[in-house]
Amino acid sequence: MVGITKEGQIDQQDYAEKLKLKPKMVAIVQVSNALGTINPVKEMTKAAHRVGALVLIDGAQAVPHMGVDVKKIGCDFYAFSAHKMLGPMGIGVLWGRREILEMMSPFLTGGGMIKEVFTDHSTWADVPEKFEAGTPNVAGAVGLASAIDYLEQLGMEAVREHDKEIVGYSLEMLAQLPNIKILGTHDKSTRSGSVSFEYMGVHAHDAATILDSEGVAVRSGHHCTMPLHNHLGVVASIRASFNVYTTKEDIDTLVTALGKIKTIFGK
Amino acid sequence: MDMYREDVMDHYEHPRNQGELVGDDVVTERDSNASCGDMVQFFLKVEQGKIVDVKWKGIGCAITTAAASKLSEYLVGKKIEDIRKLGEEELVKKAIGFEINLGRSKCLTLPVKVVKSLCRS
Repeated sequence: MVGITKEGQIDQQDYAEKLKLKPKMVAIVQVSNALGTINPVKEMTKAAHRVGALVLIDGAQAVPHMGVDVKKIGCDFYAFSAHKMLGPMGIGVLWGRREILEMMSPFLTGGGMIKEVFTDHSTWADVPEKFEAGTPNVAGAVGLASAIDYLEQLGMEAVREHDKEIVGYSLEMLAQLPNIKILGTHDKSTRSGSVSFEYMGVHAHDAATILDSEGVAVRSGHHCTMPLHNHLGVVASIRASFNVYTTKEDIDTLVTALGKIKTIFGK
Repeated sequence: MDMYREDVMDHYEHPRNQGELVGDDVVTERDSNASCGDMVQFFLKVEQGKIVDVKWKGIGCAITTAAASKLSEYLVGKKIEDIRKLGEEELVKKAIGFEINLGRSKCLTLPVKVVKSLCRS
Protein backbone atom coordinates (compact mmCIF):
# COMPACT_ATOMS: atom_id res chain seq x y z
CA MET A 1 0.00 0.00 0.00
CA VAL A 2 1.32 3.44 -0.94
CA GLY A 3 1.34 6.14 1.74
CA ILE A 4 -0.21 9.60 1.61
CA THR A 5 1.12 13.07 2.31
CA LYS A 6 -0.15 15.37 5.05
CA GLU A 7 -2.48 17.01 2.50
CA GLY A 8 -4.07 13.64 1.70
CA GLN A 9 -2.40 13.18 -1.66
CA ILE A 10 -0.72 9.94 -2.72
CA ASP A 11 2.94 10.13 -1.76
CA GLN A 12 4.54 9.95 -5.21
CA GLN A 13 8.00 9.27 -3.79
CA ASP A 14 6.65 6.27 -1.91
CA TYR A 15 4.81 5.19 -5.07
CA ALA A 16 8.08 5.23 -7.04
CA GLU A 17 9.71 3.15 -4.29
CA LYS A 18 6.87 0.61 -4.26
CA LEU A 19 7.05 0.25 -8.06
CA LYS A 20 10.63 -0.97 -7.62
CA LEU A 21 9.10 -4.10 -6.02
CA LYS A 22 7.81 -4.93 -9.54
CA PRO A 23 4.12 -5.43 -8.76
CA LYS A 24 2.04 -7.40 -11.28
CA MET A 25 -0.85 -5.03 -10.84
CA VAL A 26 -1.40 -1.55 -9.45
CA ALA A 27 -4.83 -0.42 -8.18
CA ILE A 28 -5.43 3.32 -7.86
CA VAL A 29 -8.48 5.29 -6.82
CA GLN A 30 -8.96 8.22 -9.21
CA VAL A 31 -10.90 10.27 -6.66
CA SER A 32 -10.72 9.24 -3.01
CA ASN A 33 -14.13 8.47 -1.49
CA ALA A 34 -12.86 9.54 1.93
CA LEU A 35 -10.71 12.60 1.22
CA GLY A 36 -11.99 13.67 -2.20
CA THR A 37 -8.42 13.88 -3.52
CA ILE A 38 -8.07 13.73 -7.31
CA ASN A 39 -5.05 11.56 -8.04
CA PRO A 40 -2.81 11.95 -11.13
CA VAL A 41 -3.84 8.60 -12.61
CA LYS A 42 -2.44 9.24 -16.09
CA GLU A 43 1.10 9.81 -14.83
CA MET A 44 0.81 7.01 -12.29
CA THR A 45 -0.37 4.60 -15.01
CA LYS A 46 2.62 5.49 -17.17
CA ALA A 47 5.00 4.85 -14.28
CA ALA A 48 3.36 1.48 -13.51
CA HIS A 49 3.56 0.41 -17.16
CA ARG A 50 7.28 1.22 -17.18
CA VAL A 51 7.82 -1.57 -14.62
CA GLY A 52 5.49 -3.94 -16.46
CA ALA A 53 2.48 -3.73 -14.11
CA LEU A 54 -1.13 -3.71 -15.22
CA VAL A 55 -3.23 -0.83 -13.89
CA LEU A 56 -6.75 -0.97 -12.46
CA ILE A 57 -8.44 2.32 -11.67
CA ASP A 58 -11.37 2.71 -9.30
CA GLY A 59 -13.34 5.52 -10.87
CA ALA A 60 -16.51 5.26 -8.76
CA GLN A 61 -16.05 8.82 -7.49
CA ALA A 62 -14.57 10.23 -10.71
CA VAL A 63 -17.13 9.20 -13.33
CA PRO A 64 -20.04 11.06 -11.65
CA HIS A 65 -18.15 14.35 -11.39
CA MET A 66 -15.79 14.75 -14.37
CA GLY A 67 -15.14 13.62 -17.91
CA VAL A 68 -13.16 10.36 -18.02
CA ASP A 69 -11.39 8.93 -21.08
CA VAL A 70 -9.82 5.53 -20.41
CA LYS A 71 -7.78 5.77 -23.62
CA LYS A 72 -6.22 9.06 -22.48
CA ILE A 73 -5.45 7.66 -19.03
CA GLY A 74 -3.97 4.58 -20.68
CA CYS A 75 -5.10 2.17 -17.93
CA ASP A 76 -5.84 -1.54 -18.41
CA PHE A 77 -8.99 -1.78 -16.27
CA TYR A 78 -11.42 0.85 -15.05
CA ALA A 79 -14.32 0.29 -12.64
CA PHE A 80 -17.28 2.41 -11.54
CA SER A 81 -20.71 2.02 -9.91
CA ALA A 82 -24.10 3.23 -11.09
CA HIS A 83 -25.36 4.25 -7.66
CA LYS A 84 -22.78 7.01 -7.30
CA MET A 85 -23.72 8.56 -10.65
CA LEU A 86 -27.49 8.96 -10.26
CA GLY A 87 -28.14 5.38 -11.40
CA PRO A 88 -29.65 2.38 -9.61
CA MET A 89 -27.98 0.22 -6.96
CA GLY A 90 -26.62 -3.22 -7.81
CA ILE A 91 -24.92 -2.53 -11.13
CA GLY A 92 -21.58 -1.15 -12.21
CA VAL A 93 -19.04 -1.28 -14.99
CA LEU A 94 -15.69 -2.99 -15.22
CA TRP A 95 -14.02 -1.88 -18.41
CA GLY A 96 -10.95 -3.80 -19.58
CA ARG A 97 -8.68 -3.59 -22.58
CA ARG A 98 -10.03 -6.07 -25.15
CA GLU A 99 -6.73 -7.87 -25.75
CA ILE A 100 -6.38 -8.57 -22.02
CA LEU A 101 -10.00 -9.68 -21.64
CA GLU A 102 -9.59 -12.04 -24.57
CA MET A 103 -6.67 -13.75 -22.84
CA MET A 104 -8.55 -14.14 -19.56
CA SER A 105 -10.64 -17.13 -18.50
CA PRO A 106 -14.15 -16.62 -17.13
CA PHE A 107 -14.37 -16.43 -13.34
CA LEU A 108 -18.06 -17.44 -13.29
CA THR A 109 -19.93 -19.98 -15.36
CA GLY A 110 -23.61 -19.93 -16.20
CA GLY A 111 -26.17 -18.97 -18.79
CA GLY A 112 -25.16 -16.86 -21.75
CA MET A 113 -21.39 -17.22 -21.47
CA ILE A 114 -20.76 -20.33 -23.59
CA LYS A 115 -20.28 -20.87 -27.29
CA GLU A 116 -20.53 -24.69 -27.39
CA VAL A 117 -20.91 -27.28 -24.64
CA PHE A 118 -19.77 -30.90 -24.89
CA THR A 119 -19.70 -33.58 -22.24
CA ASP A 120 -15.95 -33.22 -21.77
CA HIS A 121 -15.32 -29.54 -22.51
CA SER A 122 -16.88 -26.19 -23.39
CA THR A 123 -15.88 -23.17 -25.40
CA TRP A 124 -16.58 -19.62 -24.26
CA ALA A 125 -18.55 -16.83 -25.86
CA ASP A 126 -16.72 -13.74 -27.08
CA VAL A 127 -15.88 -10.77 -24.84
CA PRO A 128 -17.84 -9.36 -23.04
CA GLU A 129 -20.47 -12.18 -22.86
CA LYS A 130 -17.74 -14.56 -21.65
CA PHE A 131 -17.76 -12.68 -18.33
CA GLU A 132 -21.50 -12.13 -18.01
CA ALA A 133 -22.80 -15.48 -16.79
CA GLY A 134 -26.39 -15.80 -15.64
CA THR A 135 -29.50 -13.69 -15.95
CA PRO A 136 -28.48 -10.13 -16.73
CA ASN A 137 -29.62 -7.21 -14.58
CA VAL A 138 -31.52 -5.61 -17.45
CA ALA A 139 -33.43 -3.11 -15.33
CA GLY A 140 -30.14 -1.99 -13.75
CA ALA A 141 -28.47 -1.64 -17.14
CA VAL A 142 -31.34 0.46 -18.52
CA GLY A 143 -31.24 2.66 -15.41
CA LEU A 144 -27.47 3.11 -15.71
CA ALA A 145 -27.78 3.96 -19.42
CA SER A 146 -30.34 6.66 -18.54
CA ALA A 147 -28.01 8.08 -15.89
CA ILE A 148 -25.16 8.23 -18.40
CA ASP A 149 -27.42 9.97 -20.96
CA TYR A 150 -28.55 12.45 -18.32
CA LEU A 151 -25.01 13.33 -17.23
CA GLU A 152 -23.83 13.63 -20.84
CA GLN A 153 -26.73 15.91 -21.60
CA LEU A 154 -25.62 18.18 -18.73
CA GLY A 155 -22.07 18.00 -20.09
CA MET A 156 -19.25 16.65 -17.94
CA GLU A 157 -17.31 19.91 -18.10
CA ALA A 158 -20.28 21.77 -16.65
CA VAL A 159 -20.71 19.02 -14.05
CA ARG A 160 -17.07 19.40 -12.96
CA GLU A 161 -17.35 23.21 -12.84
CA HIS A 162 -20.39 22.94 -10.58
CA ASP A 163 -18.63 20.34 -8.43
CA LYS A 164 -15.61 22.64 -8.01
CA GLU A 165 -17.84 25.53 -7.03
CA ILE A 166 -19.72 23.50 -4.41
CA VAL A 167 -16.57 21.85 -3.02
CA GLY A 168 -14.86 25.26 -2.87
CA TYR A 169 -17.81 26.89 -1.13
CA SER A 170 -18.14 24.13 1.45
CA LEU A 171 -14.40 24.18 2.21
CA GLU A 172 -14.62 27.94 2.68
CA MET A 173 -17.71 27.78 4.92
CA LEU A 174 -16.59 24.81 7.02
CA ALA A 175 -13.12 26.30 7.56
CA GLN A 176 -14.78 29.21 9.41
CA LEU A 177 -16.31 26.94 12.06
CA PRO A 178 -14.07 26.59 15.12
CA ASN A 179 -15.07 22.98 15.96
CA ILE A 180 -14.61 21.61 12.46
CA LYS A 181 -11.44 19.95 11.22
CA ILE A 182 -11.49 19.29 7.47
CA LEU A 183 -9.73 16.11 6.30
CA GLY A 184 -7.62 16.24 3.14
CA THR A 185 -6.57 19.12 0.95
CA HIS A 186 -8.24 22.55 1.05
CA ASP A 187 -7.45 23.05 -2.66
CA LYS A 188 -10.67 22.65 -4.66
CA SER A 189 -8.75 22.12 -7.91
CA THR A 190 -7.41 18.80 -6.61
CA ARG A 191 -10.51 17.53 -4.84
CA SER A 192 -13.96 16.52 -5.94
CA GLY A 193 -17.33 15.24 -4.85
CA SER A 194 -17.25 15.47 -1.08
CA VAL A 195 -15.79 17.07 2.02
CA SER A 196 -15.06 14.91 5.07
CA PHE A 197 -14.53 16.48 8.45
CA GLU A 198 -14.43 15.93 12.19
CA TYR A 199 -16.58 17.78 14.68
CA MET A 200 -14.06 18.03 17.51
CA GLY A 201 -15.27 16.42 20.74
CA VAL A 202 -18.40 14.85 19.27
CA HIS A 203 -18.49 11.38 17.70
CA ALA A 204 -19.35 11.41 13.99
CA HIS A 205 -22.43 9.21 14.52
CA ASP A 206 -23.87 11.60 17.11
CA ALA A 207 -23.18 14.57 14.85
CA ALA A 208 -24.76 12.77 11.87
CA THR A 209 -27.90 11.90 13.84
CA ILE A 210 -28.38 15.54 14.84
CA LEU A 211 -27.74 16.72 11.25
CA ASP A 212 -30.29 14.13 10.09
CA SER A 213 -32.90 15.54 12.47
CA GLU A 214 -32.26 18.93 10.84
CA GLY A 215 -32.88 17.48 7.38
CA VAL A 216 -29.24 17.08 6.35
CA ALA A 217 -28.13 13.60 5.26
CA VAL A 218 -24.42 12.88 5.66
CA ARG A 219 -22.30 9.75 5.82
CA SER A 220 -20.57 9.03 9.12
CA GLY A 221 -18.02 6.43 10.13
CA HIS A 222 -14.98 5.12 8.30
CA HIS A 223 -16.40 5.35 4.74
CA CYS A 224 -14.83 1.90 4.13
CA THR A 225 -11.37 3.35 4.78
CA MET A 226 -10.47 2.13 8.26
CA PRO A 227 -6.68 2.02 7.63
CA LEU A 228 -6.82 5.65 6.46
CA HIS A 229 -8.73 6.73 9.57
CA ASN A 230 -6.23 4.86 11.77
CA HIS A 231 -3.38 6.58 9.90
CA LEU A 232 -4.98 10.01 10.43
CA GLY A 233 -5.76 9.21 14.07
CA VAL A 234 -9.45 9.90 13.49
CA VAL A 235 -12.01 7.65 15.25
CA ALA A 236 -14.70 8.38 12.67
CA SER A 237 -15.54 11.25 10.35
CA ILE A 238 -18.53 12.99 8.80
CA ARG A 239 -18.76 13.26 5.01
CA ALA A 240 -20.92 15.70 3.12
CA SER A 241 -21.31 14.33 -0.41
CA PHE A 242 -22.35 16.45 -3.36
CA ASN A 243 -23.88 15.93 -6.75
CA VAL A 244 -25.24 17.94 -9.65
CA TYR A 245 -28.34 18.92 -7.64
CA THR A 246 -26.41 20.31 -4.64
CA THR A 247 -26.72 24.07 -4.19
CA LYS A 248 -24.86 26.64 -2.08
CA GLU A 249 -28.06 26.95 -0.03
CA ASP A 250 -27.69 23.24 0.84
CA ILE A 251 -24.22 24.00 2.24
CA ASP A 252 -25.68 26.91 4.23
CA THR A 253 -28.29 24.50 5.63
CA LEU A 254 -25.47 22.12 6.64
CA VAL A 255 -23.61 24.93 8.40
CA THR A 256 -26.76 26.02 10.28
CA ALA A 257 -27.49 22.40 11.23
CA LEU A 258 -23.95 22.00 12.60
CA GLY A 259 -24.82 24.77 15.05
CA LYS A 260 -27.49 22.51 16.55
CA ILE A 261 -24.78 20.08 17.71
CA LYS A 262 -23.44 22.78 20.02
CA THR A 263 -26.83 23.26 21.64
CA ILE A 264 -27.06 19.53 22.45
CA PHE A 265 -23.45 18.70 23.29
CA GLY A 266 -22.39 22.12 24.56
CA LYS A 267 -19.23 21.90 22.45
CA MET B 1 -33.98 14.41 19.85
CA ASP B 2 -35.21 12.10 22.60
CA MET B 3 -32.14 9.90 22.29
CA TYR B 4 -29.99 12.78 23.56
CA ARG B 5 -32.21 13.38 26.61
CA GLU B 6 -30.72 14.47 29.93
CA ASP B 7 -29.97 11.09 31.55
CA VAL B 8 -28.32 9.79 28.37
CA MET B 9 -26.10 12.86 28.13
CA ASP B 10 -25.28 12.50 31.84
CA HIS B 11 -24.11 8.89 31.38
CA TYR B 12 -22.14 10.00 28.29
CA GLU B 13 -20.41 12.86 30.08
CA HIS B 14 -19.90 10.95 33.33
CA PRO B 15 -19.71 7.26 32.40
CA ARG B 16 -20.11 4.90 35.37
CA ASN B 17 -17.85 1.91 36.09
CA GLN B 18 -15.18 2.70 33.55
CA GLY B 19 -11.94 0.78 33.96
CA GLU B 20 -10.61 -2.76 34.02
CA LEU B 21 -10.79 -5.75 36.35
CA VAL B 22 -8.20 -8.49 36.77
CA GLY B 23 -8.23 -11.80 38.59
CA ASP B 24 -9.15 -15.45 38.24
CA ASP B 25 -12.84 -14.76 38.79
CA VAL B 26 -12.96 -12.05 36.11
CA VAL B 27 -14.26 -12.77 32.63
CA THR B 28 -13.75 -10.31 29.78
CA GLU B 29 -14.69 -9.87 26.17
CA ARG B 30 -14.60 -7.14 23.54
CA ASP B 31 -16.36 -6.44 20.27
CA SER B 32 -16.49 -3.63 17.75
CA ASN B 33 -18.75 -2.14 15.12
CA ALA B 34 -16.55 -2.34 12.05
CA SER B 35 -18.26 0.38 10.06
CA CYS B 36 -17.93 3.08 12.71
CA GLY B 37 -14.90 2.17 14.78
CA ASP B 38 -16.75 1.80 18.08
CA MET B 39 -15.22 -0.71 20.50
CA VAL B 40 -16.46 -1.94 23.88
CA GLN B 41 -14.82 -4.31 26.35
CA PHE B 42 -16.58 -5.55 29.49
CA PHE B 43 -15.05 -7.11 32.62
CA LEU B 44 -17.35 -9.07 34.91
CA LYS B 45 -16.28 -10.34 38.33
CA VAL B 46 -18.37 -13.40 39.05
CA GLU B 47 -18.78 -15.14 42.42
CA GLN B 48 -21.00 -18.22 42.64
CA GLY B 49 -22.86 -17.31 39.50
CA LYS B 50 -23.48 -13.74 40.60
CA ILE B 51 -21.97 -10.61 39.06
CA VAL B 52 -20.32 -8.77 41.96
CA ASP B 53 -18.37 -6.12 40.05
CA VAL B 54 -18.44 -4.64 36.54
CA LYS B 55 -16.02 -2.45 34.65
CA TRP B 56 -15.92 -1.54 31.00
CA LYS B 57 -13.80 0.47 28.59
CA GLY B 58 -14.18 1.50 25.00
CA ILE B 59 -14.31 4.10 22.30
CA GLY B 60 -17.68 5.15 21.03
CA CYS B 61 -20.36 7.69 20.34
CA ALA B 62 -22.60 9.16 23.03
CA ILE B 63 -25.15 6.39 22.53
CA THR B 64 -22.67 3.49 22.88
CA THR B 65 -21.02 5.15 25.87
CA ALA B 66 -24.30 5.88 27.67
CA ALA B 67 -25.61 2.38 26.87
CA ALA B 68 -22.45 0.70 28.25
CA SER B 69 -22.56 2.91 31.34
CA LYS B 70 -26.22 2.17 32.09
CA LEU B 71 -25.74 -1.53 31.39
CA SER B 72 -22.78 -1.71 33.79
CA GLU B 73 -24.90 -0.25 36.60
CA TYR B 74 -27.72 -2.71 35.91
CA LEU B 75 -25.48 -5.79 35.90
CA VAL B 76 -24.04 -5.44 39.41
CA GLY B 77 -25.73 -7.97 41.69
CA LYS B 78 -27.47 -9.88 38.89
CA LYS B 79 -27.14 -13.63 38.35
CA ILE B 80 -25.39 -14.72 35.15
CA GLU B 81 -28.18 -17.23 34.63
CA ASP B 82 -30.82 -14.48 34.69
CA ILE B 83 -28.93 -12.34 32.15
CA ARG B 84 -28.52 -15.40 29.94
CA LYS B 85 -32.29 -15.91 29.94
CA LEU B 86 -32.99 -12.36 28.75
CA GLY B 87 -33.20 -11.73 25.02
CA GLU B 88 -31.13 -8.94 23.52
CA GLU B 89 -34.15 -6.65 23.17
CA GLU B 90 -35.30 -7.36 26.73
CA LEU B 91 -31.88 -6.54 28.10
CA VAL B 92 -31.81 -3.26 26.16
CA LYS B 93 -35.23 -2.38 27.56
CA LYS B 94 -34.46 -3.31 31.16
CA ALA B 95 -30.86 -2.18 31.47
CA ILE B 96 -30.58 0.75 29.07
CA GLY B 97 -34.14 1.93 28.82
CA PHE B 98 -34.01 4.34 25.93
CA GLU B 99 -34.93 3.94 22.31
CA ILE B 100 -33.13 4.90 19.18
CA ASN B 101 -33.76 5.01 15.45
CA LEU B 102 -33.01 1.88 13.45
CA GLY B 103 -29.94 3.33 11.79
CA ARG B 104 -28.23 3.71 15.16
CA SER B 105 -29.43 0.48 16.76
CA LYS B 106 -25.94 -1.05 16.56
CA CYS B 107 -24.64 1.71 18.83
CA LEU B 108 -27.11 0.58 21.48
CA THR B 109 -26.69 -3.16 21.06
CA LEU B 110 -22.86 -3.33 20.93
CA PRO B 111 -22.41 -3.38 24.74
CA VAL B 112 -25.40 -5.73 25.08
CA LYS B 113 -23.92 -8.17 22.57
CA VAL B 114 -20.62 -8.22 24.46
CA VAL B 115 -22.36 -8.94 27.78
CA LYS B 116 -24.69 -11.56 26.27
CA SER B 117 -21.70 -13.33 24.74
CA LEU B 118 -19.85 -13.23 28.09
CA CYS B 119 -22.82 -14.74 29.89
CA ARG B 120 -23.12 -17.51 27.33
CA SER B 121 -19.54 -18.65 27.71
